[in-house]
Amino acid sequence: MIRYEQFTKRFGAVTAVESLDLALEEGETMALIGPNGSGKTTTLKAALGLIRPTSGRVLVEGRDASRDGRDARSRIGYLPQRLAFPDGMTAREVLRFYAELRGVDPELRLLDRVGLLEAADRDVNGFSGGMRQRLGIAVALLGAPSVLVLDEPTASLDPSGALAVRDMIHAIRADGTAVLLSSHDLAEVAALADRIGVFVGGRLGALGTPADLARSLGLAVSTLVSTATGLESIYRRIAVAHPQLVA
Amino acid sequence: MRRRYRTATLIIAKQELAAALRGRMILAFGGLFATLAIGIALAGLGASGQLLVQGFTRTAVSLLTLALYLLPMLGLILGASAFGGDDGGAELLLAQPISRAEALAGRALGLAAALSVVALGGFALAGVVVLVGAGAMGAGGFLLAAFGATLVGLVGLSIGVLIGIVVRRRGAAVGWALAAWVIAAVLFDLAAIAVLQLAGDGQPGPWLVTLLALNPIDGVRALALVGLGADVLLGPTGAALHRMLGPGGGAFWVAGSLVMWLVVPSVAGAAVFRRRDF
Repeated sequence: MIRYEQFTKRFGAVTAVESLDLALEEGETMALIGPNGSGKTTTLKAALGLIRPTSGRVLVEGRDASRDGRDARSRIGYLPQRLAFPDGMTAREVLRFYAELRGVDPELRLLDRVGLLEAADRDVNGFSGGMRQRLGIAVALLGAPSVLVLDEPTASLDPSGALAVRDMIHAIRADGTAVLLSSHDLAEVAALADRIGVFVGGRLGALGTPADLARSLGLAVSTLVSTATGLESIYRRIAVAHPQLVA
Repeated sequence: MRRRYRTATLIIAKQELAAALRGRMILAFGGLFATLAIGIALAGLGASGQLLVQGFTRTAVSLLTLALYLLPMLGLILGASAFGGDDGGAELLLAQPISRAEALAGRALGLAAALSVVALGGFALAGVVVLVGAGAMGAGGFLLAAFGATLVGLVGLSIGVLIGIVVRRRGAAVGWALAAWVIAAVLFDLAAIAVLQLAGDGQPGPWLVTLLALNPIDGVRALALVGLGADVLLGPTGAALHRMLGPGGGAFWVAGSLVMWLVVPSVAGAAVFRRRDF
């Protein structure tokens, strides 16, 4: 679905992502975790052509995300980390606007699917953070894309809002849509993802199923997802195992 | 699919226009400009308490002075704040199956339409007042002034968009936009006076057309004054303007420079926008 081939992105002297080889398979849910600035968002944005590779390339169902960006983007639904909708629009108008841009029908059932049908005619400026995220997911689902890219979909949500979004992602992956997401919540990604990629210092330090990852770090899966373990501990273990990543 | 791509720019422009017309900036500038335009059209209370209405030509000259301060400022701030920084809206827009050129053109056209509504709306309100109170004489020159002032506002927008794209942080972009306005609306005239003093013994000379071409605000002001026949009020400077911008090509060069001021920042902004990471 999405294939990164030796993808490297530098911003001036700073290397955001270095020589990434990674493939998201059909119907797969893959989660990227890593400290802030480790390259997760850069990696996700590159699939949309929002960030151009310094070298290497990113393919979406065989289309180069930079050169054939429009074609590549027609196959992806995207939820950005910072979500903003045009001012003064209702949820129904937001859906219609993005549906027009994608050349698809503004399927109101999507608002129903994300639990916003009753709020369809409310101004989105009055929406809670959770409602905005759910509307963002409805927009991302327009035209039934074959892959969803979700950048920290539950960040800044309260527990009930995060739970609702997680349930939605579960339902989406059950439909066979491939999902590539980033997160800081290990318990969340272990529950959602078929595979987890751990980014450290712009490099992919580890990649595997939650069980593989736990094993490689010498942890039980239950320990891996325990909030007490903490992501920092995971990153430290990876850094110790692969010192070249943070060199 | 091909037909849809052609309409993406219009879809975005329509949305941007609607959002801008709902926004506080357009409402504030539009309300201020409309109020002042009507105030200028009504010549103020006479001794008897009766409202006196100016004719089209006098109203155009007065309104142009106001518009050439307000509209470039609106254009610069509107463009810089719309394209400076990103709250996530641009990311979501550019993640759709549209090209960057379509996104940029759509947003810029929508903002241009909103600015034109403010500019032409203010002139139209004043025009109605003058038409009802003083008749249609001089309406052609008034329309010329309205068109010229709108054009300068659009030049401001074009430069504001470029500033927003290049600077990226909204606060800084608006700061640079205001600095550009101060230079064009205030400081340039002081520099022009100095240049004319040094180059022509204080008399308007060949430098005049060059200076007018370098500043779209002054260029439109001079073209409109000559077009309205108001240059006769300006003494030797007016006579020089008439001579320089009359038959013989001066007006052509100044008008051409206005097109350049509109096109060059737009093309430069598009080139940067196309390569920019989001």
